[in-house]
Amino acid sequence: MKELARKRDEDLIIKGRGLTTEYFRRDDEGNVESIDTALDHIDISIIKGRFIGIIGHNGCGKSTLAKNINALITPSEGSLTVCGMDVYDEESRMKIRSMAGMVFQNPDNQIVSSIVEEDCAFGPENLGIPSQEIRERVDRALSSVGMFEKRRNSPEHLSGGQKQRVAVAGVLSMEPECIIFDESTAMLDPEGRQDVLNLAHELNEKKGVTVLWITHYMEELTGADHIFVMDNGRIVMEGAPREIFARDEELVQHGLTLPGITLLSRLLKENGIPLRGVSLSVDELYEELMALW
Amino acid sequence: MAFIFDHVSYTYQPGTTYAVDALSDVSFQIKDGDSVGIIGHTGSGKSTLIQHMNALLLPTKGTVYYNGQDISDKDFNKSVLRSEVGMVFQYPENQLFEETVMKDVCFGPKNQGLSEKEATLRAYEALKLVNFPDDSFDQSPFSLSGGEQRRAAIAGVLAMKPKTLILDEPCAGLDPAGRNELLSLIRRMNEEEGITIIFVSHSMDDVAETVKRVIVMDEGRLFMDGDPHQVFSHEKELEEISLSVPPVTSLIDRLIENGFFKGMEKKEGYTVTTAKEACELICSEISR
Repeated sequence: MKELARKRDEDLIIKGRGLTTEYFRRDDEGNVESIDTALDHIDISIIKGRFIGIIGHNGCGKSTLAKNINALITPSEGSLTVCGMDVYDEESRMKIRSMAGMVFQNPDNQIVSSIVEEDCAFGPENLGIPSQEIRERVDRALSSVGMFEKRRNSPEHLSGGQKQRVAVAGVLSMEPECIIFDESTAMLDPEGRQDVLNLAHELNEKKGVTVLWITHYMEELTGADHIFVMDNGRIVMEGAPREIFARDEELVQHGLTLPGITLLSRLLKENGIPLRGVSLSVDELYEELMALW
Repeated sequence: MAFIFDHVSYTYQPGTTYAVDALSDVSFQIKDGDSVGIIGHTGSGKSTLIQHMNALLLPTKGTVYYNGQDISDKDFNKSVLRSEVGMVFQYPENQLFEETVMKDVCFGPKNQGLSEKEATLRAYEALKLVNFPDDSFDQSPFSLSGGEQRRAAIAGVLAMKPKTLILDEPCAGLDPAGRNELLSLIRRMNEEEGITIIFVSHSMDDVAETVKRVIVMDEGRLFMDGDPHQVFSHEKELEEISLSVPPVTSLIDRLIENGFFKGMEKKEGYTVTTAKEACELICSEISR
């Protein structure tokens, strides 16, 4: 029994207990005016190698959670370990940031260099990695996001989706165990969005990178292993996509909506069409309907 | 007729080696009270197009008419155009700057030369229109949530009483509830206030449920123009230019092609675009 428990713990890449973040609002004299509890005693366990979706309305605490995991902020209370390292430990913090990389919403805000490959080298350079190895890592990272051909281009002339690919390569060159995508598709067109989502799945499946996919688009989560729904600084629902999407009334209460196809399957069931459960994709609902005939 | 685009072309940095044709030979008209969605992948010319409607850009070739007047004319009054055509840029909350929401929304009407009192009245109406909570009028705009900030910024444009409202990706970064609220606001402004709506979006779902007409841009050209049911019935053509149709549309098309609907042929130029329409269609087929 004991051993099983230990083994489980080792499989966890992220483990938070009673994790709390409070933001203080101060007046002109620096006195505390009010306290916003952005994360409210969260318990979270994420197993290595999974594709995790995180949803919730604006201000529910998703990004604060991401910043905690990335060690950009220190928790106000509670414990958090990332890749086996304690986020309170000063010396681990730099290591955590390279182990749990982050891709933000606006590609223009995270590209620092005027040449694609130099941009990707920025991370490993800061880690003090020998230049020959940086060369190898950058080439490998750019190849795996399909941007090797454009390595000598200026990021200026890339499309939004391509810029996000470069940002992902920049994170990959630090050889992280986990990548957090914080609404990385919000500014992209449909093609760019699909592109970045596919890339995340590919890295997850082929390289075993744990992915935390934060989004407002429910349809992006149909392929996730596990979903956390957040509201008011708490995790209010969690489970596989199919379980989560079946609880549509709760989702609406938490300010969310169903993906179009799931909504349709829901409407059909309400109208007495004998479907098995909720459908997550066009293919699935198509098969089910054709089977009815 | 609010806008007439007559063979409009626009080239960035013409005459240099960096010259890029952003629009080529685009012609269409927009009537008062229309609600038009503009879709197209990144770099297809959407933003260049809408900047002509506000005379931020003038055509390199061809003519843009606003209420019958050529916007490139020397004596064309651009300030009238700009106060009648409100532009909500991407991430409009980045342009909030005042101490309170009320002051921020008053900025536009005051700039139009209205008195303090009139401007406040306008601001009040606009904030009401976007369902902004009363007790937050005197709050700092920076203490609001993302969705509230977005609505405050849109109220700032509405307070100028525009006849046309151009919105560039207004839902980007909003959560589903915020998105639904904003989309229904856009519909209401068109249907109840009679404001002409130009709605630029990457989301086919949002476009399908909000506007009555869709313009598709591709590589600076006008690729398609019609009502959403018509435009989204061309799934293959749209896919070729890296666009998609709403998933519901794609499902219904496949069902029709594979004989799910007895005796129903795929109607040329018509398709369903929302979950509700699709549900009605499937239910009526099954109960038959």
